[in-house]
Amino acid sequence: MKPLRDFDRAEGVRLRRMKASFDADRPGKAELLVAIRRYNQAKSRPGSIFSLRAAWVIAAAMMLTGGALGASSVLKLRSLTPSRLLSVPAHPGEQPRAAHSSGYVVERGGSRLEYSAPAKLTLLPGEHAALIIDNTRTELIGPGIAQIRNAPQAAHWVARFEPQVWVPELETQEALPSTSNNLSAGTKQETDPQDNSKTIRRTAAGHPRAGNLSVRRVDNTAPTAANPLDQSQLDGAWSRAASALRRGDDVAATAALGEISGGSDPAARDAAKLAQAQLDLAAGRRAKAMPVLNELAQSGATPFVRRRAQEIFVNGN
Amino acid sequence: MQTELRLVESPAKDWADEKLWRDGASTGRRGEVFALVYRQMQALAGRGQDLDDLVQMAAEQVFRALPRFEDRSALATWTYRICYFTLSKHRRWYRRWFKRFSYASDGYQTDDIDLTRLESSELLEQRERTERLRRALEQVSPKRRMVVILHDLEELEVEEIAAIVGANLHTVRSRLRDGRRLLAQALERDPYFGDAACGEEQS
Repeated sequence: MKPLRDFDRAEGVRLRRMKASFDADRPGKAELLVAIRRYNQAKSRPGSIFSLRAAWVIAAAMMLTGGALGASSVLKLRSLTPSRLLSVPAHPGEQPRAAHSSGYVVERGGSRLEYSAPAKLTLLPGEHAALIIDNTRTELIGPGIAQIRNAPQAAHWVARFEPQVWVPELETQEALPSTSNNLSAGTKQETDPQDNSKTIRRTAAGHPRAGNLSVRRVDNTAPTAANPLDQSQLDGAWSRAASALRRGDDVAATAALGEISGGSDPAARDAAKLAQAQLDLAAGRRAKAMPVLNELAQSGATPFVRRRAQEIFVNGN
Repeated sequence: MQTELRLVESPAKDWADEKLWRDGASTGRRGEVFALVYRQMQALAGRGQDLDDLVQMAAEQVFRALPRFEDRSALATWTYRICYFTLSKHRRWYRRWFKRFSYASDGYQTDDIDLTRLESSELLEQRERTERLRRALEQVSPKRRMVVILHDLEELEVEEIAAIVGANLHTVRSRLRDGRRLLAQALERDPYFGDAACGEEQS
């Protein structure tokens, strides 16, 4: 026993008792023999067929096989390249579709850029952008910044992204050369089939702030070679604009007018612009409408547009 | 090649004959090495249910490393070191295991004890004392418990203990002091190891 410098006498007694108990519990020969027998039994059991060495050999063989198959293109590994993301259409919950061709962005002035995500476009006050995704058109109204991030789905959903300026033509009802000047609000006025000017007049009284407005497609909207909208599309757009104004649907009217302004015909564009300015005035967006009216009064594409813009501008002031 | 272990009678002094262990790997010698490992592991870990597993793990390491054993320490110190680290690693794993599971019994092994020793009530009482001592040791943190066992019960030198546990001498002494204090607290009210019982014998 070691000298017990650190112990008092009682602790010395305890240590001696502990030591005695500990020694008494040491394994005897019989216990050791039993332990050795158990050890021998454990060692004599057949080992697992997957010993550590065999596991290493199998793992190495699998790696070599996989590498060989990959090198010989038997196994095609999935790539995470952008081309894969763009080429795989993913429409949630619907049938798989054919992949779109890569989208494009039409800049101001008509120049077209290939879409490369992320796309970022600044919309000035009064400007409008059409985001066309899978034949679904979403209208964005400036001022603001429209940005499409490089999300995998957006990357192959985006078809076109077009900033545009509308040129609709809106006229107050009393200014129309109508045959029924005492039309009540909300009354639909069909086109006179004998009217060679092909004027479509629809009241916009359904709009809570528009007053008695009607949309008129003037005869300067004849399709041109550069106009992507044909005559039937143009008619449809004007009809949708008028219908939306009757319903008081400002956004839909704006969208329909935007379609009209998508053409390159300056007369149609200025007419849509004038209609939008009148719509803005009716909605109380005076600060947005007045510069447009001033510009149209000075440089409108047609005499009619210039005159109407001048009148409305003067009345508005 | 697997050879069965046999326990041979060997003079106690043969434990110091490391050359025999290193060179001769006869089954009898290996059996004695196994017995050494068993004794050491039983001293460190007690008779828990995992004693057999611990002994086998430690013995495997000892047998595997025995040809590379160098004379930088005594064989018993070297095997103690292997037992110590095997036990520490196993108990770390068990602490995580016990967070999710528990033994159905109290965790003490009752099979395969040398029942011939339990012939009298005195021996039964002795066994009861030993279990109480083990339970008190379990209340001391593992590192301190190991040092107390190695120093006070196995009577190893501080330098040997430092080599076994991989700590410096000051750390070993610090663990020994704290372990003794904690063990005394754990045994304070024990009818055999407690202060009152020990004080009576002293007087």
